[in-house]
Amino acid sequence: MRAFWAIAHNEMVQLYRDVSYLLLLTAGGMVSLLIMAYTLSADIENVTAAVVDLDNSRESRRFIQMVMNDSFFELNFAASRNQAETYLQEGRVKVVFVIPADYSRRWQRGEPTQVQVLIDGSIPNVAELAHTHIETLVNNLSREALIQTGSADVPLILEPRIRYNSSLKTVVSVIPGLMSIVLSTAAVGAAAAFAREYERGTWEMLICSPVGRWPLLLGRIFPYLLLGLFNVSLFIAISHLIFGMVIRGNLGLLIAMSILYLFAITSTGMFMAQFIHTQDAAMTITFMFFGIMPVYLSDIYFPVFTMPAWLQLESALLPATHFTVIARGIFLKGMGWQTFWPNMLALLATGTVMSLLAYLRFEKKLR
Amino acid sequence: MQAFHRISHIVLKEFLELWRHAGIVAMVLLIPIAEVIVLGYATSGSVVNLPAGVYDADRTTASRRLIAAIDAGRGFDVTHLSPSLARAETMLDCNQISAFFVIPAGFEQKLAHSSGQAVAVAATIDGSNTAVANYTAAYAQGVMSHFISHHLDQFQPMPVTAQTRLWYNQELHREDFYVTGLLGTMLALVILAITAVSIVRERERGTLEHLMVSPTRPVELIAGKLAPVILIGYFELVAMLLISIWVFNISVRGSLTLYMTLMMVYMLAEMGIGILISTLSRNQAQALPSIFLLVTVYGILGGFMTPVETMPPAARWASNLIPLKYFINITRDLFAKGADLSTLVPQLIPLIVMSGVFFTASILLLRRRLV
Repeated sequence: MRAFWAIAHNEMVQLYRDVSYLLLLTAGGMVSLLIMAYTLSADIENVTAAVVDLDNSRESRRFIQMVMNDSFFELNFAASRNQAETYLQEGRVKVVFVIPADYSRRWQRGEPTQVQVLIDGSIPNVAELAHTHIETLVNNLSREALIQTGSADVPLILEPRIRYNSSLKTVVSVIPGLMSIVLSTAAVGAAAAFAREYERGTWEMLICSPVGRWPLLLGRIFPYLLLGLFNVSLFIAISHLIFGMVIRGNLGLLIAMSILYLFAITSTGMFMAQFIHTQDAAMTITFMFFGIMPVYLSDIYFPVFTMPAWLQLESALLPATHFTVIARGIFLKGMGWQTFWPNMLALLATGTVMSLLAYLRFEKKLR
Repeated sequence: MQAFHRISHIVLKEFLELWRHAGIVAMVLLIPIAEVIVLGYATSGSVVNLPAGVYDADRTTASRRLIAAIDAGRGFDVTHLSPSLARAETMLDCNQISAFFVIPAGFEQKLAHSSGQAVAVAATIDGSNTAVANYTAAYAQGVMSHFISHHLDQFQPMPVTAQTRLWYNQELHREDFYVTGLLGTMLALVILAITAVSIVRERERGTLEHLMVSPTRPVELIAGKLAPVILIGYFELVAMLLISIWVFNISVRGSLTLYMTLMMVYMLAEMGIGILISTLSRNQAQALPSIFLLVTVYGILGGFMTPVETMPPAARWASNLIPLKYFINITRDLFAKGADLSTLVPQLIPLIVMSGVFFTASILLLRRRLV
């Protein structure tokens, strides 16, 4: 036990001595959180659109008014269809509405009218959303027309209700996921700590000391667990103060789960470090596995269920995926451990297995 | 002639150094390829067949027809018919379904006797992952519209409809959007990492002073150090392009030759930034992780994940200072829309200006720091 604290203390002193490194591991994660969340926080709005009104009637102007009232679109006017299509080609607008010349005539005669819409598909997200807004708009206009002419209302309407994130803000969805990325600096630090010993040649000295294997391994990663905890509190503070995130569930549970996640990733980092003996390589590899891969594969932004089976398997093996489920559950759904205990188990298993493997691999012998 | 000799010696030395660190170099070179593969596969699946639940309080022919229509559409896969509202809610909480529909009692009756009042079917959607939720909402709306026009015989056509046509990416392939963004981001990673590492390494070892007193002029030194970087940059891009086009069928509508030429300007700008970063870092261990962190943020600000137009004003302003943003625009316009040089000029000019500025600044700084 004494040996454990001695090693941990040694590592902490080394950390404190290098302030810029410490800053990188703590503030670095926070700054990236701030920038990422802020950049992704604007929801798709003010999508530039152009309208060509070939009818110029009261009815067509009503259509234009409805489009303008939707804050999703930022409407401009085009003099002709050709001009509008050029705008679309140049990327100056993403959507083009063409109101046909017989719009009002057909409307007054009670015949169905059609508005042509061209959407730039090169940004799929925006295109899908534009589609939804246009459908809703056109439905509302239809209902207006029906009520005006005294016929029956549309028989069937959809009442959408969004759960957990009623305004469908991207930042609310992304921040719990970003937590697993931001905390990954702990793993990077842990792996680098081992690699540093090799590089500096102090490895041999430690092997010759009477310190056992467990204290050597666990004592060295302990400060990074603390660092991770510090990052957790910073993260929660920033997400609340700057982005207005409210934790629906239990804060204590979130912190406990964070510790579990930190245990899983620092153990994995520790295991990986057994094979890597240079600091820059250690940092590169761990950053890849814990900082970059999870961005794509832990369901933060790209839905995992659309991926091929082998990629879904990879996703399931990443601790970040499980932690994202837990973090989202606690932040957004107010869920307790009864819902995500399989994920907790996965994290616990990862941490334990990795620590064991590192212990077995780590020999107190010169190689 | 003398200058060429000196430069070629520096180039040779650089390649030897890279070879000596083959491990880390291989890793840095593999990262873009790995990321293209992962990102391509991660985004090429269509967001369809979302698991959905239905709470049917009516249980009539009409309601069953609606359920069949929801299932038949490509958006949803009706996996659960919940016996109660509470059960449906629990399933939504436990991530078993992405949404559930509630068909109210009296559904068939109200539809048959079109009383002038609309029947409302509620769709509760899981909003915790907005990437999926946007699609879920769109599909729900689509399913309803489709049902109205195809399954309600007594109803006449809607007064106003929209006839939508998609330009450029008819099947709404997501991977085209993301992979085009990734190309520039990965180039930045490789260029920054190798440039910074090569200069920082010299500083670490103190060999910069040696080079300064050699007959090599600083300009030649820089040229020699950067030549391998340019070669590596092209190599990486070609590798990424091959994978994107062969494996993921990314559409490339414009001229690849033009693209490779414009890429040179971008690489110069990034190299300038790389030199700037290396004048600020003291050792290699610090430089590399900082670069990784930087590139992640850099990519997002440049419009890799979400288009720049949809960002808040401060972020949009910041992205105007980033060479990556212009290169991503060039990539996307050239690939998806087949843009030619004249259309790309507004994106190219800032790049030229930036490469000039960064390069001169970094060389001046480098000179100052050494002397």
